[in-house]
Amino acid sequence: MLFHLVRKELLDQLLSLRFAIACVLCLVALMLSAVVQARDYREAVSTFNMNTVVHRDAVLQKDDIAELQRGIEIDRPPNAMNMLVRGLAPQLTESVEVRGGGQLKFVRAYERNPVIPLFPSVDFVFIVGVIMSLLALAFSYDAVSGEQESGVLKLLMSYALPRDTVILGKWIGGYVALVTPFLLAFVAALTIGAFFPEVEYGLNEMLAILGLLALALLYLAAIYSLGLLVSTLTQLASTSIAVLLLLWVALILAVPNMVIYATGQVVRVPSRESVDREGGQLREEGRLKAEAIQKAEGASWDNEEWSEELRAEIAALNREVEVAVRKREESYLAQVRNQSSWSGIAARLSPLTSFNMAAYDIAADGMEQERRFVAALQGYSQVWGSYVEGRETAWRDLVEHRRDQGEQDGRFQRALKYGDYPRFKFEYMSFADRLELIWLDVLLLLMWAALFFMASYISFLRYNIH
Amino acid sequence: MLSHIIKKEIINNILSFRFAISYVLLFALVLLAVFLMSNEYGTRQREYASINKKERARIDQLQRIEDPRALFRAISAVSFNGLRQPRSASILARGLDGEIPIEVPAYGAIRGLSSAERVGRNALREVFQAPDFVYVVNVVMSLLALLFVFDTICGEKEQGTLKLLLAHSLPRDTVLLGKWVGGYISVAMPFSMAALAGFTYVYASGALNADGLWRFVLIYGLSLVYISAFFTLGLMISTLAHRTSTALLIALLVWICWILVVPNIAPVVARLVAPVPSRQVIESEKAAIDREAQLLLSGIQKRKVYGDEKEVERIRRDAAGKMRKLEQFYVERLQVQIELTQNLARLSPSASFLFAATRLAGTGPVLAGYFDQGMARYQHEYGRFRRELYHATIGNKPQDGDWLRAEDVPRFFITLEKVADSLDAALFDVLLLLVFNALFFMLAYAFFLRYDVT
Repeated sequence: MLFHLVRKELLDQLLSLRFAIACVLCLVALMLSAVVQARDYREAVSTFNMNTVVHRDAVLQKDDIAELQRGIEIDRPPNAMNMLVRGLAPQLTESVEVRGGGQLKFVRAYERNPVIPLFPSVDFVFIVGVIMSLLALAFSYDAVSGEQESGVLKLLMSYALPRDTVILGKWIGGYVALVTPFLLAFVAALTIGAFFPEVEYGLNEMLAILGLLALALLYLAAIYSLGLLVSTLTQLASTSIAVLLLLWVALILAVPNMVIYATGQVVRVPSRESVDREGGQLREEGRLKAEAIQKAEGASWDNEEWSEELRAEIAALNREVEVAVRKREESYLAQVRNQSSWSGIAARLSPLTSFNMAAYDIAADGMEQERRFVAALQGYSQVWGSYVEGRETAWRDLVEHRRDQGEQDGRFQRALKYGDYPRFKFEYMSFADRLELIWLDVLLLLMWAALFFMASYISFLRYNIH
Repeated sequence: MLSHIIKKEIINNILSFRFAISYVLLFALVLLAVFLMSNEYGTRQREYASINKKERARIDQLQRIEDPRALFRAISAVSFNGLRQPRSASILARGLDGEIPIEVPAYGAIRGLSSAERVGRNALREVFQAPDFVYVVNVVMSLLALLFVFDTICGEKEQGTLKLLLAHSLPRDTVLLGKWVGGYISVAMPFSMAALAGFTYVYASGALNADGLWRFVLIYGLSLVYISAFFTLGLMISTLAHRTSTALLIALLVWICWILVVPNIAPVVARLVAPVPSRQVIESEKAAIDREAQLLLSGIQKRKVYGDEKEVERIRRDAAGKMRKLEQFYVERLQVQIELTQNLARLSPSASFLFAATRLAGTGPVLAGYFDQGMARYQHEYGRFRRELYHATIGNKPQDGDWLRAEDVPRFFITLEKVADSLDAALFDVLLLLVFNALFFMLAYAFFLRYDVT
């Protein structure tokens, strides 16, 4: 029986105007975005390749030990998932200046075309999150209330059909009708990607694409069930669509952005500038204290003439000040993290946030990936620092050795080559790691879908059919 | 007669269910948007003020140093950063105001994030657009306007009241006009009240001067024109369709395309049609030119021919000329792309509205240009100032405290348009919105004349 119901629902939807609209919209939006993102990705790959060669040559051409200390430029390889998900990283590839001792210098991402930041970029996440969710509501708003109006529901219920079968049949039929054009367009978009030889998917990426698709289907199921719920709560299709549109506006367009700023009002963070100022004050106090000690000892301003004890005392003081400054800095960063996590929790009120965040993480383009990239750079910075130190000792040995042999200084400037410098290796997260990040969001989405469906089932059981 | 129809339409709307919920929603959203963004602006403004104070304090501190050697060291160590004051109208239209930094370095590029800042930043703010007044009007109000009007003709037809109405001796133009006026008032009134409440809050918090007030009023007027464009569009769709469900679907489709697709696709298409070489390509070509010049120069040095200064000069000039040409080429291509992007986006009234509103607020794409100019000017002036300061301090002990006056430190400033100039620049987009209005109304009229009321 369920099969018949699903079939009827499906046929109903397939012949409707909204199905045609959904087909056109999905195809146009997904394919256009695929072309664009693939081209962007291609450009990023060529930029990356060019930059790595340039930066490698820059190291190889160095012939002065002092130049090594100025650091090395490291490039982030582009992520093939950027074909679908634009992600959080400001650019698809970037160069970072790395020096020893954990010093990183990120170049500020600066979009040259000032019109682009005014509009959000159209990627898979945006299309599913905003456009497809609206379509999902358009598919389900009249599932029950529309049939009630046209009188079909009464007729349907006059057969010996349990209500759970009816609502399940409606859910499946409508959902399949919604998802079919989406899946077709998705396959078409992936095919477009295959025309670009730069876009290579490894096993990780394949799994991630499947995961992304599953996420999108889950999110659409949640939104679709919401539509069904409102449809079983109202008697008129026009009321149901009005309520749903307003809910959609609130949940998708308003809640995520407003909640973030509202959390900023509640969970306060001192400004970056005030933290810097406090650090400066701490340093200034330390300096004054050191001066006082110096005067008390009656030492001269030239620290070459200080006694051992004085030197040790001042050094201890300086260390203390540095520890205090670092503590202040760390407590500030902890406050910022606290604020971000609270706004993340509050913004999860909207399923869109869960979907977006999970999609970014599964595409390895979220915050965790940023953290790992920075950590990898910092690890590399240590490696680079010790390499430079090793080279410096080698250089000094060489100088002494040759000087013993009586050569002039300038002769052996070019004696050392740096072809053996340690290379930076960076891999995007493995699929298992990505899955670990998203399970909470997946659970949330599942919960929304189950909640909405169960509520619609209960409300349909009590639905007044006339 | 017209007033009767208007009255009926208004009462009809006000008593409807959707009026109640959308009234609550729009009131809440407009107020929240203004409230949140004005607090956010307050934070940025405070940050600006405190950095400003800090810079002043540094100048005072320098003035107090008397030992010339210490002074020289201190001056070599500091650089005064330029400061950009946030625009008060960014409360309504944030635009690029949050994107463009407050602190401008005296030399070199703008400071990037530190690794701790990068890891610790609140990423959610980058994912979702800032919920300012213009965003709420652009996205939410346009949808609400459509929602109010999509069934005004076809809904009455379905109910049968349209037939009844036209049975009276009423010309169709009066009916349509009455419906437009009545419906528009019932959308614009609650919106105006919410906007007024929001503006009162901003005014009371003291963020507005006369200039800002004018900008607020203009942006409010612009919003009314924009809402009316979508309202008229909805009316047209209603006269096109014969069933409310069809009208609703068409309205939603048009809304999706115009708000979510067309403006976002425009930059993309512009990039495909008018590509600009990436900054890196330009930089590497510049480096190649530089290398070539260096090779030539070292070749001359090796020949050890004295009196080759002219040749050296010529090579240097050539290289500089080539680089300038390359830069010019880049800027020109970028300009073409920017213009194409804007013009393509203007296919959607949403983009016109956004451009006009950000222009009126002084936070639009033009801000980026002014900022770049201002930064170049500031760095140039600062270089001069620093050289003069060196000359003043090297060797001779400063006589009194006035060798470094706070007024002498170059100020960073960017061109601030007068309200009239901003309006002038935004006029094209305003006109475009008016044209959309007129076009939709005329089409609605034409369709309604031929509408089958039975």
